Amino acid sequence: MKRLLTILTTSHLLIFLIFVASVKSQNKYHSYDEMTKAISTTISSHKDIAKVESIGKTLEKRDIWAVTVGGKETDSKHAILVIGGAEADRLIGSELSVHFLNFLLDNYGKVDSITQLINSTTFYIIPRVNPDASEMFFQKPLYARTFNARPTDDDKDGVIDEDGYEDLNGDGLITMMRVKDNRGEWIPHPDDPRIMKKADPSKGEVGLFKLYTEGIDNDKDEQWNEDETGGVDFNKNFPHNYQFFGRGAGTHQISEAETRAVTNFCFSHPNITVVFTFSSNDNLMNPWKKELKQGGQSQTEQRQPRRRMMEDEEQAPRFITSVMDGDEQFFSYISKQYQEFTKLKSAPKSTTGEGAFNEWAYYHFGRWSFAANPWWIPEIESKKDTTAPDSIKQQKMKGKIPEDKSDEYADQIKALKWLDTNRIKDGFINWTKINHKDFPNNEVEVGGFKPYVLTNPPTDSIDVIVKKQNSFLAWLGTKLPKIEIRNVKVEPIDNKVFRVTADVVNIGYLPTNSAMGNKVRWPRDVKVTLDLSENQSLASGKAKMVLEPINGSGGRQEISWLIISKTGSSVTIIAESPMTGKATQTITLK
Amino acid sequence: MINKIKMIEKIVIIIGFICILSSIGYSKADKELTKSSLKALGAPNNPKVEVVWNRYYDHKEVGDICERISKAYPKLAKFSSIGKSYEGRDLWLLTVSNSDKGSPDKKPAMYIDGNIHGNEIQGGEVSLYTAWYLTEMYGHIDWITELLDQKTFYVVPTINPDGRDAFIHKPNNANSPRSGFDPRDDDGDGLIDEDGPDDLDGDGEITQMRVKDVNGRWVTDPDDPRIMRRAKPDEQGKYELLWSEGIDNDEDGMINEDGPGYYDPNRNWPWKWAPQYVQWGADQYPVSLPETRAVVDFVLKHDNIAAFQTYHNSGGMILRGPGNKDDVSTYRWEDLQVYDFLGKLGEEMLPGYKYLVVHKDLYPVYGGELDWFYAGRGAITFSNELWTSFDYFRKKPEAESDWFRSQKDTYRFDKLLLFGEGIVDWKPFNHPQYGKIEIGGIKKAWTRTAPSFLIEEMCHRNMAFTLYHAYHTPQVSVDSIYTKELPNGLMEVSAVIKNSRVIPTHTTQDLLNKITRPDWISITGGKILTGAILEDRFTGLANEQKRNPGRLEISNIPGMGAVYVRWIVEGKGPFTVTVDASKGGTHSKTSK
Repeated sequence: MKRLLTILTTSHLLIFLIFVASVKSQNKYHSYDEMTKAISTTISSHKDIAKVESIGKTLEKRDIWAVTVGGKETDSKHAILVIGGAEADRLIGSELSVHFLNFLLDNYGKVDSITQLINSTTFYIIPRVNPDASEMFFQKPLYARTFNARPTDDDKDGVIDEDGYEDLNGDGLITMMRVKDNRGEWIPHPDDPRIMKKADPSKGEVGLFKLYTEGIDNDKDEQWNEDETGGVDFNKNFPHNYQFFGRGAGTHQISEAETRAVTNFCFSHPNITVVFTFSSNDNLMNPWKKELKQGGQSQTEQRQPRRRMMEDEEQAPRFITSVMDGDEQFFSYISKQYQEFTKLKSAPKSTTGEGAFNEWAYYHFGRWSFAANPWWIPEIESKKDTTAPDSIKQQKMKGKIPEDKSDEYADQIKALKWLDTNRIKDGFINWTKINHKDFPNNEVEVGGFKPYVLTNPPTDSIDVIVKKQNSFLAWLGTKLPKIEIRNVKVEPIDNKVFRVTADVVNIGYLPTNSAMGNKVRWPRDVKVTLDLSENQSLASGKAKMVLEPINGSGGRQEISWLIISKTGSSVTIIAESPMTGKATQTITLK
Repeated sequence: MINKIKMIEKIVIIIGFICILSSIGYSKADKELTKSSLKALGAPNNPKVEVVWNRYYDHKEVGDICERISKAYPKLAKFSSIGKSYEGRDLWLLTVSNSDKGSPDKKPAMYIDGNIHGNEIQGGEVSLYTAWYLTEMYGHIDWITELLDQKTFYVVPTINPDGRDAFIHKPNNANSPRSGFDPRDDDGDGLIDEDGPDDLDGDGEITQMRVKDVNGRWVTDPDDPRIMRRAKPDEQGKYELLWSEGIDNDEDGMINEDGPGYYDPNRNWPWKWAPQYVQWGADQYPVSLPETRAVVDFVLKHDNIAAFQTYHNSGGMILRGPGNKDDVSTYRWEDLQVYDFLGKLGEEMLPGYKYLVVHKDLYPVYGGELDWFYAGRGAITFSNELWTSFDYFRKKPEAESDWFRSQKDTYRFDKLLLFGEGIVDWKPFNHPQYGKIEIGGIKKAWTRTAPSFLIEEMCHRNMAFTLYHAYHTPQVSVDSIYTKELPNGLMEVSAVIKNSRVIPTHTTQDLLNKITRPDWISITGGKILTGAILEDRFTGLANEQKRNPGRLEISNIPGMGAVYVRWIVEGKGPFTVTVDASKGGTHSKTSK
């Protein structure tokens, strides 16, 4: 019954959103300059409700753009921050951010629900947070780089960026390179010989190839392409679960112009209530689950003997590494709604971030943080399965060979099938022989997946994704906390003292603060002020107080005061927080 | 008429007197001191830069002293700034090294800073004294001359100049302000810095407030009525002790709950930083503060820094990491040998100071400066807590728990040696919220900072400890080269590469995480055919370096140890061997 109700509510919302004008179709990925131009064009015709500003400059002198949608007093309304391009090689997230901006602006003043949404909620959109890296999508030779332009000694040999990739077969792409060598550890995959897999000696497999990325050993250290241009990955540079000395992690947390700009933007906008990130580190298809050791000790401590733990209990740090008790249910509910809106299924498992932005936004910034993986290689129905060798196909159909879930190459095989089924040309470059000066006596072939093909959908499927994400985001915008003052009661005591009671009620959906936000302290809780005039004084209660988080859907906190005052005079109750808006009520004491 | 003449006479005499007085004043500042017939050991006899080491200097004066040192000794000291504080004050840097003997940025270096906590000012004086002493003594003491020829000192006397000036110029107590001055909302009410302490009696000090109250649980100490102590369980109380001096500025019922700043600059560093709920004072994120950032950026640009020293107050401690027990395994045996060697040396040189480990002897610290210097940069780091109550009467306290502070001794010392100058006597005050109260207590310049006559000693002893630390940063050299003729016109060239100091070119932390590049040993003077590092110099067991044999990569040259290398070369020589270690300097030698 409960489920039925949920479905009814959401389908109702769906109908309501179908009337929203459809977005202009722009089936392409935009280079930085094109994106910049597109944003400024869109905004120039909506100056009343949108503005764009640069929040920082990258090493290659690109501005990091932040768009604010919301018209007047945007900083005093609760807000959603939308982040695109946190994983710089997933351009789709960046595109979806811009599409969402267009969606808001195009429908403002035309569709009531969107007009109301923008009037009550501010949207901050930072569509491309690591533009120097994302720009690689538009350059030749093509290779997927997630590192920004910071020169970094990746292989720690005292020389910087000395061994990058080379396009050896002249196809404008950086793919893989396999070298026939009986010392190699790789063999073609039995299910699809285009895929290379590590030989498994326990199955009697003998290695035939060495496998490298495409390029030459520029610095003659017998490593290939181990120190490419640039160095820091935006999504590995945040302090939650940061990997010290990790590749792409940077010299320290938030060390880069890009990460610093976004972090400072966050802290200077206390009204940010929800952070929404387009990222494969998704928690909408794979909602965050509380670990058993909730709020527990860091891993080092868990390993320590029990007696030691008891002794040190008082000093034990309480690092929080999984979603908090009070918050889990909200993540779970929003996730269900997301799946209803998007009808997405069989999402890949989400990995734990290592210095990822969206996790930082919850664990350190203390905001409701949602991350959506906008696209993955779709499942292919079994009848279309034409690529696997016949014998295996037949056995699978008969159920003799169970799908090996643990096969780490399954995704690649699935991807190849998908490319073949959809006749996507050049998605996989077939292995072809080249001459390689580093291997004069070996047969060398270049081939493999085209860069970006596994991480970004074909342009003709962007529109469908845009609609799904937009309608969810617009719905999410209506779920933020909002407070009212209700049930105000004045009880005169001998007409000289007045007992005033009132409820601060959260009429939104999300609580006025998350459990995590309450813990990290940065998100502000609701402050209640009782404005007294000069000849009034308090006999009980506080003139100023900060409340604990109040649950949504009508959750309330009762407050009472004893006020010594003349009869007939008035007092004002003000309740406010950047994430809930402000509620005011003036009452006469009589 | 006579009166008039007398008046003029008087005026002339007065003017003359003023002139004489002021000329005395000027001569002190402008001229060198007269050389003493008997030089007191330990200080320059007639320094070029005269600095009085029995007082404390504000940020501007610190900059002036730096500038005077660099002008007097342009070859030995360079004056610059590594960045600006939140309020725009420079973080002054003195780079002290003999620049005629190699670029300072290529020599093994020691970084020294002080005053990370605004109130802990004397680290500034100790740092300044170090730069001053080194420059003044260069050429007079061989050991110092060699030290500045071989090593570099990066001296940043204050990395919290806003806090320093606030402590010196604004009303405070000995414990405030720890923070810098970037405003924060400490009480979560949406207002920033709206309720700090207030100097109610206008004496420039933030002391205590007390109210007479027979139901209070405080009494005065019969030995010294200025001291407040808790009443015994069955004793009638006389006072209630209130907050430190201040009013409820924002009328929220709390006193002094949101002062200027507040974060702890020593919890803002990028190693094992932890959010506020684990580590109070952490602030928004690692390296969020402009002062931390300036230091981090400077240090990351100087791979030659092989040693760090930071100065805090107080308690008489030579501290090493780890700051928290999560990092116990980060400090490995090999590096602890070096720590212990230096730490114990320090205990000997600094009476009343103890060599301690932060997390186990003090309290847990996440995101502390000393942990980043060691774990993040792989360099041996100490942090000294300057000034100890041991110096009150130079006797060991009876109980270990009294070690850090004994209030009675504080007042006793004040009475016997400061003649009451360190304490504000209790005086009545009419408080807007508390009514008739009394204000009094310890002045800001007492308990955590040394009194004038002990400052110079504190500076010298701590500096001396630091100089030994700097001395023991790695110093590499090509010790010897041997050649042996082989058939076919080939030559075998062997070299012994030595590190003559205690600290290795790579600490274990550096080695395991590849923080700084390998050391390079290169050879010129012929066609290099092969190169190898000898695993065993007696058996000749060698590991060949296939690539670029003319420049061998050595992961580490151990402290007081050597590595052995060998090349096969076409040519007769002479051969020049060069060792280049980012933390250990460079050195070349040519074979005969």
